[in-house]
Amino acid sequence: MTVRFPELEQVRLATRPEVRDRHLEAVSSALSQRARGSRGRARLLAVAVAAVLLLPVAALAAEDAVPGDILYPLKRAIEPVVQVFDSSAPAERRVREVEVLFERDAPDEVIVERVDVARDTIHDDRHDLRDRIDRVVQELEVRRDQKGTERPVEERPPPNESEEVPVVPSDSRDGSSTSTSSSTTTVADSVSDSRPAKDRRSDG
Amino acid sequence: MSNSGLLTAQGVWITGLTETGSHPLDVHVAGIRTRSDAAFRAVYAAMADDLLSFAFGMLNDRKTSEDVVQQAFVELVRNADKIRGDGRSLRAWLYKSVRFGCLDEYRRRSRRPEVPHETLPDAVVETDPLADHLDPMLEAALGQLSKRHRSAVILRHVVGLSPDEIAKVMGSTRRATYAVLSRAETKLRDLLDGVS
Repeated sequence: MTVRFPELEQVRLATRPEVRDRHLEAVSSALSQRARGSRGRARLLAVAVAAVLLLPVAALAAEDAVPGDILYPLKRAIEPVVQVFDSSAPAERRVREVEVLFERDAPDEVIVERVDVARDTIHDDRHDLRDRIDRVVQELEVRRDQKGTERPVEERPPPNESEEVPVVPSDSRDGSSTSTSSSTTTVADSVSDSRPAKDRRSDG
Repeated sequence: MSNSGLLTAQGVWITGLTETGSHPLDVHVAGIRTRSDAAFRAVYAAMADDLLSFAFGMLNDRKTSEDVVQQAFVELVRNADKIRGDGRSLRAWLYKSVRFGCLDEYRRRSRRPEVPHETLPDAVVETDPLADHLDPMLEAALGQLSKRHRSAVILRHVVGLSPDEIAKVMGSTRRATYAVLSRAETKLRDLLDGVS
């Protein structure tokens, strides 16, 4: 037998016109917000896609970046990936950076600092890279001389006229190409030579 | 027994629906998924009164019921792309959303002190069709049903859903829904007749 509930007739309501308008307004508002959100997400997606597409281009452009360049952090960020394919890549890149800095006529102290970093990175068996670094250091010396600023070499008295006995640690500078036996500062002196003793001896 | 439903002259589907064949909301489902304003307006026109009646039967407060219905449609906007199936699924989704809104309101009320119903009033009084509350006797009787029983009775006897549809709304099986309906109807009849 079906149970009837005439008492429940009063539960049935009709939506009042003003309430209907308010509800539809709320729905339209939610739809608009959603559409704006969708457009925002679409823009974000477009930026993300553009970034992904531009990343290889930026990575290529960053290859010649040196410390101080905008793209240099990107170059360092992708270096672990490059290193997977070529373990000596970091050393070569540091040496190249020194050369680029020199070509760009960067301040001496910047180059000297990067020379240190490069030498720390070079493996013992990469004499070619050491030679390239040494070449930059020598050219830097020459450039300093030509510029006449600081002029450490000119200010330095000739060895035979100096009354001072140069204090040089016995385990350093003994065979370097810049061993002019002086206590005054040269570019080579300001660059700490981290090479093993055997390498330094072979330079002489 | 399956309720075949009735489409009014205003195009509003006001009672239970057949379990097979097309459904008046079918044509709007695609528009809802793509968040078409026209589709939302059409579905609102077809469903608002039924949803409001269901919420009113659950909450006995017209204004709160209106808020619950509004929230259900706003939720539908947010979840439109997740709506699956046909018009019946959309309809069940809306009832389910209103039911959850009503349960949330119950939870809110439970945190607020309320005057308990001591006894049932002597007789059912005639009420204004635009009244904000049910007549006290009916509310007292409905208030003694569990929320599940109350939902089932309102969905069946006010909105006109079939037991199958009620099962979908309440997340239950058809057999369990029949049992719930049977117990709820008997209890409400007894309460209204003053048996208990």
